[in-house]
This record gives sequence, structure tokens and C-alpha cells, in this order.
Amino acid sequence: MNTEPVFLYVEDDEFSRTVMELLLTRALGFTQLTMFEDSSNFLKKMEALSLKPDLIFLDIHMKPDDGFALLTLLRSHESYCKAKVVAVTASVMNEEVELLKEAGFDGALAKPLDIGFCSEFIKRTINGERVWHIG
Amino acid sequence: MKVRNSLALKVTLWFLLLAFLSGAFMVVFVRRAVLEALRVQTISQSADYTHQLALALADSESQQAAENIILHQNLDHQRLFVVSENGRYILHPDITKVNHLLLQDYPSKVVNEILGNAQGSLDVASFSNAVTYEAVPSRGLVVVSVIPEAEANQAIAYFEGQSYIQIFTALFIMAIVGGAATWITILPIRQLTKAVQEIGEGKLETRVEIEDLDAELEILGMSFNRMAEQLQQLFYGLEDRVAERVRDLTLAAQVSRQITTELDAARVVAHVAALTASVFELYHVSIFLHDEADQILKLSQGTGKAGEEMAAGGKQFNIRDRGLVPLSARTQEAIVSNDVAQDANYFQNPLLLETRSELAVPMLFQGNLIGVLDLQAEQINRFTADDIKIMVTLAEQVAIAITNARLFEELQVALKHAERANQVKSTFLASMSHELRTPLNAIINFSQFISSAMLGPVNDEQIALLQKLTASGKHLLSLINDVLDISKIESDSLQLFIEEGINLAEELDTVVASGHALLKDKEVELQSRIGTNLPPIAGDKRRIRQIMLNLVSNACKFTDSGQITVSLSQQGHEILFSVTDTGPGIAPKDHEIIFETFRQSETGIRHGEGSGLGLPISKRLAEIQGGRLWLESEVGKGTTFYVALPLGLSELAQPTLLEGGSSHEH
Repeated sequence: MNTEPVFLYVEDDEFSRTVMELLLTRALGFTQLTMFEDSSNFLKKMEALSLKPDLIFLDIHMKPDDGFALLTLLRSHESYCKAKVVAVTASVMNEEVELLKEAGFDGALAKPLDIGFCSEFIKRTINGERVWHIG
Repeated sequence: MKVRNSLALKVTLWFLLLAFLSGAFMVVFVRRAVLEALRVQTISQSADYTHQLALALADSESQQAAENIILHQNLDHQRLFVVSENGRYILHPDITKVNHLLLQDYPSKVVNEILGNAQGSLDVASFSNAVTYEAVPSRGLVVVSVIPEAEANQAIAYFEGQSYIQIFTALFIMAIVGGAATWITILPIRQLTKAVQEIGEGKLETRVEIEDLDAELEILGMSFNRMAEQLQQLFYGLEDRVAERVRDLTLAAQVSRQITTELDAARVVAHVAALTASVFELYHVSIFLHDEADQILKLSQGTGKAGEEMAAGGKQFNIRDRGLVPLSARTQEAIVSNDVAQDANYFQNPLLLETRSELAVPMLFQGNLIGVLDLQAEQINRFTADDIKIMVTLAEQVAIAITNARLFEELQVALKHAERANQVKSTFLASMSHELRTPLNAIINFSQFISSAMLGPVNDEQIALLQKLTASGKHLLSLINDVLDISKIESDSLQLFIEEGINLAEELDTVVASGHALLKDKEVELQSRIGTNLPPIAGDKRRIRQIMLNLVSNACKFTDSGQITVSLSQQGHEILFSVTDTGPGIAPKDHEIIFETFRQSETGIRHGEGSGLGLPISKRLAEIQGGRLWLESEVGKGTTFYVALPLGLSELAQPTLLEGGSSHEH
């Protein structure tokens, strides 16, 4: 990778945010990570921060808007429609994963995160591969 | 009618034969007798004449006249002449004969006869002429009368000339008349025969004409007609009764058929009441249902306006009340009253004043009283024994239908509860999974971050504990996954992600790597034997890997020394995966137990690990992909687990095809 990827993680669970932060910034050495504690005023917050994320991690079960709603917002937004959007979810039953695929996510990561696989996952996702890591 | 065996023809032919035989008898015997009689008569007449002539010649007064008769007689006819006692012609119509000897014309035997006797007649066969003679002693003369052959046999000639024609004409007429008479006599018999034949063919209305018959045949004919009449009555009566019964049974079957397809008890009852009233043309039909707790028969449905009013008034009987309906409920028998005015058990309903017959039939199911079917008619004697039988059968059907409908309703309720419970369970499991995975994310990953010294220095003791923390978290995660899987398997809601082109050798490599990690503290060798040119297979890659990992993990867990061999090979249309260990083995009694959910063999329990779900899940996962999982084991030597998976999709038991192209990485 020539330039460092920009990450955004929207997650209402504090521990999960900590895991992601430790993983990306401490274990994998990335620096460009922004995290939102909830899904409120999502686009406004992004615009206010002038964020141009390459990879957006979305929790699914969030309030007021869930991950699917945020995906829809992103996909319909000129500036963010090209970003890779990955679901990070603890709901990993087959039919739930099927919903993610149908909604148009670029991949999924199951909770608990498999930190040994995350580096590869990020690389492949940014390269355009859709990876469903739900085991 | 067959001509050869015709009675009339036979009788006629016998008659003709008899006529011919008697004709022949007449010709042969009677003719001769008749002819002889005629000849004798001719001769006797001639003798009389001769006698008269002899007397006349003896008398002087008539002498001349007699002589004239002799002399002037016609020569062509009788030939009279007179001879002397010495045998010479004295008087002869032929003058030339006079004084000639009689011997010149007649044989001496005849001459001697004529001359030797006073009177007589000669009928000599050799001398064909018949002769009569009589002496006239006073004059020494003999009167002789010769009847020429032609004349003597004149009657015979006549008779013979006419008789043959007459005989045969007579015979012919006799035959005609006899035949006709026979035919006429036989004709009524033929008529009878024909009538019997027609009856035999089923034309039971056939009768014979009595008027034309003779006395004997008249009796026969009358008997025949009576018999035909009875036969006809019997037959049509029977036909009518059968038709009636068939109609009733058809109606009952129609009612039964309609109600047994009905699964709502209230509608069953409404249907039966309405249908029974209409198809059997009854005045009123009600159905009472039995309330066992209160010993009450409650009206469920009644036809007509009376039915509506009764329903509105909450019509019911106590089982001990008067009336046919409670009586039928008490006795569990059909109670019939074919003239209610005469029946002490009848209890009049003021809404049903026209009732003249009533039939109350208990509706029984396995000996339990479901209710009573009550039928009322405006006619006396409406319910026959057959009707009662039909209604008893119908009531049984209704009881079954009501019971079925009630069971179905109960079943529906139970099903709804079960569905709801299942839904609650699924929701619970899904949310439990979700809720547990979120904290596990922190537990597993924080412990890993810390133990990796990423966040600062940690000592070995801390690392060991943190690793145990990680392992425990992962174990908890696998338990959660197993519980979810088994729940989905048991509710048949597990969905497969089928993809093609799965390279099992690659999958096995990652599984073997996990196995090595599990064995790092043991003296156990793990080797894999992967067959060459294995074809790719279709299936759910993640689930196949789950099966392989489960079997390899089990082998690693239970084997403390020796070796574990995993192998992959093609066997026909299947890929065979096997895991052979040198562990403790599994006792035959445990071969089935280990595939039951939440159960483990004693060894497994002693080992104190695992949920007891891995094998049941693996077995079902193999099966729903069209494969099999089984084992061979010897206690003390080891165990081999086998998994056979089909190569192609067509052999999948549950081809739940979801979009492929996904990649589930571990």
C-alpha cells in the first residue's frame, strides 16, 4: 500500500471499540482511525470531520440507525459511495449473513474478532475482494 | 324354439306314422275280407236267383216264363242254363249248345258236383267262374247259374279301381286334419313355453291368454300367470327396496363425506344437521353435544326456525330428563318412537308440534358419548329398522368427525404454542449468541493483546494465565456455536452455503495445522495421507471444515500417545475422509450414545471437555450434504471415524442453494 488507509468504525459498544483500536493502531500499526460511539448524525459528523475513509467498519445493532441504514446513507452519498463498507457483527447465523450480502456490504467480520486474520482481511477488502469472515 | 325338438312336430309325425300304418293294415287285411264278403254275397244272390228259377221251373204255371227268362237273357251278363240229369244242355240262351254235353265247357269235377247234388254253389279257385245250381227233381232238370269271373269280381274291380285313390286321399286328409288338430292342440302349450321363456329372459310382465285354453291347460295357464305375478311382485318389490336402501346409504355416505373433511367442530355439527334434514326430508334435526362435567346435553345445532329459537333460548337437557334425547344418552342406544302420541317416553317440544315420529341416536366415539343426533318427522312410522341402522352409522361418523375436529383444534393450539415456543427459542438463541459474542470479543482479544506484550511487559506466569483466558473464551465461543448449530439442525432450519470446486486437500491442511497446535504438548504424531488427483467437490465448505476439525480435535484430545492419521481418498462417487487414532477406543455400547446430543461416552465425560455436541452436529452436517459419518473402534487400540461426502450436488439430501462465491476463512 502506498498511502496509509483511512478507517472509520461506528460502534456503540465501548469494549469493541477498544479491541478495534488496539488491533488497528497497536497491533497492526495503522494511524488513521476514527470511531463514532453511535450512529446519530452520521453524515453530518463525517462531513464535519471531512472524513474520506477507505474502509468503514459498521456495527449492525446500533441506535438510532442500524448498520443497514448507515450503509444505505453511505451508498447514496456521492463522496462515500466508493468506500469499502464491512459489517462487524455478533449476529453470525447464516440467514443474518445472507442479509448483509443482500444489503450490499463489501464483507463481514464476526465478533469476537479473529485478530490473526485481520491484517489479511483488510488487505483483501481494500483490494476489492468481498470477504465474509464469520466462522 | 328349436324345430328338431318341437313337441308339435313330434306329435304330428307320430300321428302321420299311425295313419300310414292303419292305412297299410286296411289295404292288406281289410281289403281282402271285404272283397271276400262281396264275392260270397254275389254268389249267395246268384244261389237265391237259381233257387227261384228252379221253383219256377217246377211249377207248370211259371214254367214258361222261367224258360223265357233263361232263353232271353243277355249273354254278356249272367249265364243261366238248364241241364238234364245226364249232363246235356236243355235250355241255353245259345241254341247251339242244346243237347251238347256240359263236360265240353266245364271240368268233370264241376259237372259231377252239379249233377250229384240237389243244390249248391261252387267257387273253385282253379275254375275262376263261380257256379250255383239247384236240381228240379220233378222234371229231371238242374238249373245252373254261372257267374263269369268278371262279374263275380266286378265289386272287387270297382273297389280296387277306386280304393287306392280314396285310401291315399283319405290318408292325406287324415294327415292334414290330424296335423292341424295336433298343431291346434299343441299351440297353447307353445304359447306357455314361449311365456316361460320370456320370463326366463326377464320379461316379468309376460302373461298367457287363458280364454283360448282347454280345461287342463287353463289350469296350467292360470297357475303360470299367478306364478309370474308373484315373481314380478317379488322382483320389483325387492328392486324397490334395494333402490331405497342404496339411496339412503348414498345419502348417509354423502353426509359422512362432507363432514369428515370438515375440521371445525361447530361447522361439522351445522353441516350434519342441515344435510340430514334435507337429504332425508325430515321435519326437524337437532344435534345435542354432551357436557360430561355437568351431565348436560346442550343443543349445538337445530334446523329451521324451531332450531334457531331453541338455540337462542339455550336449549338443553339434563341427562336424567324425560324425552327420547336424554333417554338415548343414558342408554347409549338409538331410541325410536314411530307414533309419539302413544309413547310415554316422548316429551313434546312446543316449537315442534307437527312431530309424529322421532328417532334419537347417540353419537359415540370409542364408547364415549359425544352427543345425540335427534331426528323428527311429520309422518307416523317414518323410521324403519333400516333407517335406524343408517342413522346409527351416520351418528358414529358424526362422532368421529366431531372428535377429529376437536383434536384438530387442540392440535392447532398445540402447534401454535410449539411454533411460538420454537420462535422464542430461536430468538433467544440468536440474541444469546449475539450478547455473548460481544463480551467475548473483549475477553479473547484483550487477553491476547496483553499476553503478546503489545501493551507492555508481562511475565511468563501472566502469559500462561492470559493464554488460558483466551482458550477459555474460545471454548465458550465454540460452545455457543455448537448450541446454535444443534438448535438449527433440530428445527431443520440450518441453511447450507453450497459452492462448487471445493478443494478438500487445502481444507484439510488448515485442519491439520490446528491439530498440530493441539498436540504440541503431547508425544503424538499427526500425519496426513492425501490421495492424488482428488476431484473438487460441491458442498458447504465451512461446514465440511467444521466436520473435519471436530474429528481431528477429538482424536487429538483423546490420544495421549501413538499417532493420528488423517486421509482423503476418492471412493467411486464419494470422497472418503478418515481420522484414525491410537486412543482409548470407544466401547460398542457407546457407538450410538456419542451421536446423541449432549451425551458423551464415559471416557469423554472423564476427559471433562466438550459440549457433547460436536459428533451429533458433524454427523448431521455430513448427512444434510448427502454424506455419511460412521466409526470403527476397538477398545484399547484406537478409533477410526469415516466421513463420506458425495462429489456432486445432485446427491445432496438438502440442496439449499445459496449464492456461491463467498469465502469463509478461518
